[in-house]
Amino acid sequence: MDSNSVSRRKFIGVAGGVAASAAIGGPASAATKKPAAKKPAVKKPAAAPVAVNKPGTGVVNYWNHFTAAAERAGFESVTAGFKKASPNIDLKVETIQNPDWMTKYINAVMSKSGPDAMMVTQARLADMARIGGMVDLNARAKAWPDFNDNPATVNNALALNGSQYALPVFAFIDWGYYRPDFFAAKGIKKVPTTLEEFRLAAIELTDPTKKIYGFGLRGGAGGGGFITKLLHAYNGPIIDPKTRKSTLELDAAVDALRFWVRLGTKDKCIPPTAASDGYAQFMGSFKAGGTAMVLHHTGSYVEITTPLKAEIEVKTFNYPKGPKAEMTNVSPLGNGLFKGTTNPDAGFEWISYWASKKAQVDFLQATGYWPTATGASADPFIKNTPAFRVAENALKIGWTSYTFPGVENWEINTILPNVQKALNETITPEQAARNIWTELRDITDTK
Amino acid sequence: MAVSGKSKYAPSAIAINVGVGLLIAFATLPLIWTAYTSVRPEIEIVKHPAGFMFGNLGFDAYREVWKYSDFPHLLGNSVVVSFMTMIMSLTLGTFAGYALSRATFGGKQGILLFYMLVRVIPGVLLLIPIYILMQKLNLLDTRFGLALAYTTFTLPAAIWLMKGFFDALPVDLENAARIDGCSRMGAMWRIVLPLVRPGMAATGTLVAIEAWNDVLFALMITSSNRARTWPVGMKLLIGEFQLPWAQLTATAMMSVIPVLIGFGFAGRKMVAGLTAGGVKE
Amino acid sequence: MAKVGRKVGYSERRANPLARYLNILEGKAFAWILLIPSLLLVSLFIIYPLYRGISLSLSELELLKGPDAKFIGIDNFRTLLHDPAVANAAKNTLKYTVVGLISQMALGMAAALLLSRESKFIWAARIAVMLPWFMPPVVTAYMWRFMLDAQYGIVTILVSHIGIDIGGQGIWANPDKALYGVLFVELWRSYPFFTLFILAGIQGIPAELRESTAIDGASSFQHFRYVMLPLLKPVLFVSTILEAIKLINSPTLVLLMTEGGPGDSTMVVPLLAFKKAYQAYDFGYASAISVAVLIAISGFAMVYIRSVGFGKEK
Repeated sequence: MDSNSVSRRKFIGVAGGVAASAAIGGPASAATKKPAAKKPAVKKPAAAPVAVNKPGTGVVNYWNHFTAAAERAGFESVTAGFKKASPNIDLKVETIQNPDWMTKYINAVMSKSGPDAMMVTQARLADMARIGGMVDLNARAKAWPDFNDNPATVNNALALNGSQYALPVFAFIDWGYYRPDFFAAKGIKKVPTTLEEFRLAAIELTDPTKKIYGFGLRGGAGGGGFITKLLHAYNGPIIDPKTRKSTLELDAAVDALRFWVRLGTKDKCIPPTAASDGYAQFMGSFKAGGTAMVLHHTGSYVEITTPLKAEIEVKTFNYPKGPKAEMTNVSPLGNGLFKGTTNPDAGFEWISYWASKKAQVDFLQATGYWPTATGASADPFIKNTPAFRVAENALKIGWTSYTFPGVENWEINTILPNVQKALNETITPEQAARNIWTELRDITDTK
Repeated sequence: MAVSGKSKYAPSAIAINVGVGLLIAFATLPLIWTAYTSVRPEIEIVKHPAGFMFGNLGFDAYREVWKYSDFPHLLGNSVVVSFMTMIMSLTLGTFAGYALSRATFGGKQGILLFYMLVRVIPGVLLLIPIYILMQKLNLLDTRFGLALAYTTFTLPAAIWLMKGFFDALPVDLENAARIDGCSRMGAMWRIVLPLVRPGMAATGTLVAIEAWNDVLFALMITSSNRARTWPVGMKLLIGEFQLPWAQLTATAMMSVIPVLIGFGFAGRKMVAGLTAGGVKE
Repeated sequence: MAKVGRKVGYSERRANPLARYLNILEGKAFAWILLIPSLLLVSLFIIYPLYRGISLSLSELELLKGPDAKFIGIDNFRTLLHDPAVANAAKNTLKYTVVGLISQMALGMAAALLLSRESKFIWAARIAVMLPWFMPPVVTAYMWRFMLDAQYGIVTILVSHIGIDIGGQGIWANPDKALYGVLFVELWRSYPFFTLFILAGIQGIPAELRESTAIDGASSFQHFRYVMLPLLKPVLFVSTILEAIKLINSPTLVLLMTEGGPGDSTMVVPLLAFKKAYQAYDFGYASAISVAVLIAISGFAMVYIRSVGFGKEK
């Protein structure tokens, strides 16, 4: 593992905010390539699929949605490692922005021409499988010796009705960021652990004269997912895992929405722009010192510790707990094969390579995305970064996210507009809760 | 030509100059702010988004964007695709526009409306069929395929606009030429076309800009940097989580600067073409 | 064709055998020859999408239920007539189109008149004014959200000095302002379209006409109203219809800047159709919405064309 120490220093450097923006660009990717170069000793598990599954050759067209600088750097080191491990395979990468993903996917399915392999987020798995462009990987997964390197819970999260549709590469692990300096200035010692504590802390931290708000609520693009987590925290599971029907109680939904909306309408501890704040706005405002706490996941760690000093200006914490359950969510991302692929052998070789521990660690170094393979998280990078203790705890308390047909549409087009309206007081939180609850029952055919 | 020369220092001339100044400010101040942001250090932007500080300015963001975006290649694609679109649309559009302006047969309105259908069809109905069509024609992920798609969508505009410009020209001009023994083609080529040059320049600009700025079709029809245009590359670069501000603004400048350079070379003439039209004789 | 055209001179025409051939093409045939290439290209690209769109609009096709379309007649259209989401989107689209069109046309016309004067550096001014139009909408959208940010935006801060307060909730989170925010940015980037064409139209007006009334002493407004405007009519007509279709059919900036929010306050019809198709995977209904838009725009265009008499003039 000595090869890793080079990159480890780099990573710690990033974590300390020393390397600054340079780390996101070139040097980080150069550094992360190094371990790949010295690979042979560690490579074994990655080369293993050759033993059972047919070795692949030729071109693999691969779709991914990595657009952030850190993601691209990490992806580069993964592909460089793959080129060494499987020199006969020519990986052709097409990057598609996440919001355009389903458009391209549907076009591919309908015109029966698509990639060989592609990325699959857990939340989208059910939609993508139902639309019919995914391949059941059961037989190949069984023949891949390292399949069980990824824990069963993670593998199962990428399976539906007994079909394994994707192999995991990392997991989005929820955590929040807070400003220890702001906490200290207000004399708040305890980092909130429950939603109620969180609310009180947010109120306490809010200082309109300094234009500081306690909580940077994401009520614009991408903000729907928080409500799913909040509903789970107030209700317990909102979908029955067996019958796939809604188990969301209306009362719980009302309580959850009242809590969330009240932060804006009564407590005034979120920016007044919350209803329109997407990623750029809520992250930008936190980085500029306009908010004291935000909720996100491990993937933004490198980005956020670039302008803010880790442990001094920014620390991580677990999502606060709700009355019925945790809000923390863990959601693996995987890779699957496209139904029309003409080169499944090579495609599988690629996706199984990336599901291997080595590739996962390569990727972690550049991004902070959490590797799922057992033992990968014992990597020194993770061990030596204090912020990651929070992620380890999140793995213990977190639940894997929901995947049922229509979940994304529900979050984007039902939850989000209703919450925005409630934040703007054009409807009441009770009405918003009822709309959200009704729609969930509709799409899950709950009578 | 000169309304101006006579009354250069009249109050109305001053008012006009002030008006032009305001227009220029409205258009360029946001761009200047964009340019300024693009050379600021990211940390400064993040901590003081609206600050005015002139230390530490540099071109780091441009270097980053350059490194990750394959900029020269994508820009080349954009230029080629826009140019092809312009040539095809302008040629077909001028012919058809002239025919519709001068010919006298029934159903002209019907034909005009038929052309316009292309623009009226909402994108949702087009995406999948166009993709399948391009696949059948074997034009997926090619610059020509993209230019062909753009031509179809810019053609109605080109035809309608050119028809408008032809309409504005007195038919007497051609009649005179034809009495002199010129064929229809000859009359169109020698007499009419030179007079609609300003219209052609304006139409060409519109068509090129539509091709230059489009993201939707470029995203669907292309799948690699082989044919991808700069706005698509830019969109991917900006990504879901958005680029750091300095880089975002740098990409903005990188899409405006080539246009400025283009105008620097060809544009002065083109704008001169815009102005020098009219009836000179 | 071009070559042939050039060869046929005034005097040599009788002598040139090709000229005889061209002779046959005179009249209607000549017009059709000029029309056919573009008609073919356009047909190639719209017949299949139209056929497919109309047939889907009469079908049920929800990808989450299955890949096969089932014919259901005009049910989708019946549903959309009573769908409050469609009514809301239609209202927003109307507002977006009318306000957008009027503001752009007014500013575009004013700019064209100001820029039509000849002077040494006018060409530079013309380029400068049109620059925003050359910037891809993707960056325009992000830049303006940044500059109009309620807390950190440079514009917000600058206008606060002259007593205009767009801070606090700002523009984008406010359901009453968000659409106008987008319209403002749309104005910034799109009015040069009108400027360009009106300017081209003005340049096409014979110089004598442009000057004569000034000498006559007619007031400049009357000169504009009675001399310029009638001559600009064809250009104004076409650019209005093109911009209207653009605003109705591809409100790119709405999609990039607000995605229909907050709530559904900026939801416009094409965005709704897009969401129904690619987020709810309901292609039948999305097609029905799109076909309804198609019919509505075509209807308006037809009435407009008739009323102006475009294409009927001799």
